[in-house]
Amino acid sequence: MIRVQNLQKNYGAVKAVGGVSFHVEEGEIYGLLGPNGAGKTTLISMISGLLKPDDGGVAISGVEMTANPRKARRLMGVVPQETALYSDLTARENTALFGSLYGLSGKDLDAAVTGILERVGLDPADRRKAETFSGGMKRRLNLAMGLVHGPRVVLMDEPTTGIDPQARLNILDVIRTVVAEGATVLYTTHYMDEAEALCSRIGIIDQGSILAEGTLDELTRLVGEGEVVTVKGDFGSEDAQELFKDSDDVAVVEVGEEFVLLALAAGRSPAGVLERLIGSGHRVDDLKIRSTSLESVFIKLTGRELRD
Amino acid sequence: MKALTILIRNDFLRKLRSPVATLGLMAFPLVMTSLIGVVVSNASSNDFPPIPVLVASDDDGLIGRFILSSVGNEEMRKRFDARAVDSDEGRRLMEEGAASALIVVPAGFTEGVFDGREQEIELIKNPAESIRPEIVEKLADAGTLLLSLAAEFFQEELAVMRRIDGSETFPADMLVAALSIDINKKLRKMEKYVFPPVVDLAAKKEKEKDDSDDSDESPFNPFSIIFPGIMLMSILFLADLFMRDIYRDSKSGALTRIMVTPPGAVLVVSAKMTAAVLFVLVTLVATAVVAALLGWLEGMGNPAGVVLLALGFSLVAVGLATLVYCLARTLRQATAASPVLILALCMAGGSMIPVSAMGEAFLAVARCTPNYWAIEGYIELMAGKSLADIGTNLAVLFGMAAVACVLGALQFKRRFGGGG
Repeated sequence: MIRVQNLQKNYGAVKAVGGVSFHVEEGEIYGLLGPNGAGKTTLISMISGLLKPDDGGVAISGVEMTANPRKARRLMGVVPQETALYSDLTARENTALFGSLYGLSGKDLDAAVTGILERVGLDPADRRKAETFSGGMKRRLNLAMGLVHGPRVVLMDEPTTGIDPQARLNILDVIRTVVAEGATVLYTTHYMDEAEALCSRIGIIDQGSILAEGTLDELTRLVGEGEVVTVKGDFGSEDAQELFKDSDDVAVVEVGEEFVLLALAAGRSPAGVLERLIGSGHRVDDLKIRSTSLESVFIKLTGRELRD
Repeated sequence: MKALTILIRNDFLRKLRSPVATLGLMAFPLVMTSLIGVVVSNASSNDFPPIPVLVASDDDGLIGRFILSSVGNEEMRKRFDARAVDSDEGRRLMEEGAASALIVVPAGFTEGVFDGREQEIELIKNPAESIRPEIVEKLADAGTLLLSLAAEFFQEELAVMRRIDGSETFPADMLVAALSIDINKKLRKMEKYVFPPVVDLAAKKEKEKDDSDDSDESPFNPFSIIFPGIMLMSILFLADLFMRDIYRDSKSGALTRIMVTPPGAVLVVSAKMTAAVLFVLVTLVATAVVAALLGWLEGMGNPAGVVLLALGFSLVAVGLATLVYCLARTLRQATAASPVLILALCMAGGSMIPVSAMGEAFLAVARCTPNYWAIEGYIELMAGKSLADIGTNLAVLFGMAAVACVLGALQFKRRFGGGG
């Protein structure tokens, strides 16, 4: 449904996206997981036709974006990261504008607008100007504007950023519903739990490249089943590096002035690590153990934690 | 085409939702024209109060009597509240501050002039006033100069007139006729120096016009002169107001979102520019209706010509505003650059000060502005010229519009819609 082939984008000497390729099957939610600045939005901008790639290509349902952008765009709905709406128009007017730009008119447009506003829970406020909405309501309207024309392919760029848990759950429910109705979704996020809960396949992106992709199980197998341990204490970064440099079953992922992030091999106990640190005369203040998860996969792949 | 209509409708809907700025800019040319027009009207009106002047003559000769008799002259009365007095009464009235100045013709003045001796006319100014006595002094200076020239040039004739004036008997008809012929001959010789041909021609033209159509004479209407220039300034600000949405929408992300819809960047920018031009023209028509009701569009000339000038200028304004808001990196940059550009165009192009008042050097600069071509075209139309006569003005305006709009659209696409 979505085929991305060797997409590249540079801003001067800075490589924003470097040779990214992946595909999204029909009816699938494909998650692009990466920290801020990883290149997710640049990638979405090129896939949606907003940004011209330096190299590579995108096809939506077999329609090449560069060769036939108008036709390719018609197949898509885009939900941008910003709450990109006209604050001086009502919810209904905002939604109807985008419905009509995708070719809906008359009764079909009215029905589509009413339907999508009901689905996102904004039907009681459909005649209110968007500027009077709360952050969560704006996010839901943002989603409605991208879905009003019933697109077969939906690009969603961090659609739940900065909203309360209730509004977030509503948005995730709507996404599941449209996928159940046959839509294909490309979903970028930096929330691990969202990616785990929503996406059938995940691509881990950092510094403009996809480091790994697959289902959660596939990714876990790829990096191993071992746990990730964060230890806080009075040791310096050089001490931590020195302590575990010859260890085959413990890898130092990241070190700071008062912490060390360690990836353990499968079956290796965190207790052994703790014993080794205390035995070498260091004080340990805190210990955090993360079992196998997308977060531990991300840490092992990128060498750092995923932070906002 | 349908998408174009949808986008234009959306822009208009948004402007209707926030009408305050639009109404403010609609009122701008009306308020500005009113203020400037009132100031200009007062400055140019003839109801400046006459200056009180006392005229006393102790000379009972020909010139003394002539000066006294001029007090009752109709032209003199328009500008001076002149009153004939004897010199003592005049001096007393001046001490009381009853007049701006006292002119005293001394005794024996005519005799002295006829004898070719140097003579003086006394002028006493009211020390409590500043400007009005100065005006009287300048007038008296001019009068004495003329009198000196006349005494020199008509020396022989004045001698004859002196004899006639001193004679107890009525002069012979032949003598009066001969004197008249001599004076007339000298005046004819002087004519080409004293009355340069250009002055003579202008005077004749004015006379012909007066003779042909006395009833067509319309009073000076400063509003009809000021309004078009101010309206052009308003058009530039209206285009700026409309195109400011480009920046706002790009900040909110709404513009980016529109760009990834099927219509694409070219149609989006075309719709934006079309909407802006329509918005400017609708506002212009609404303002013009009010101006017409106020009588500010009298003598407007060919309506089609005016519409084309307005359309051409509006397109230039929209193109320039698009360029400014697509080039500016921040709103602060845009809002700083745009008014400077608008005011510079208006100042150099004759919207604020007539180009004719700026001198030849400025004319080259003025010709680079759309304001100049629009205003000059409008003046031509007011003078009764046809659409063909303003062909150059229209060609230049639409040429400027094409350049500004193409550059604006290219910059828009480069900045916001690089992918398609």
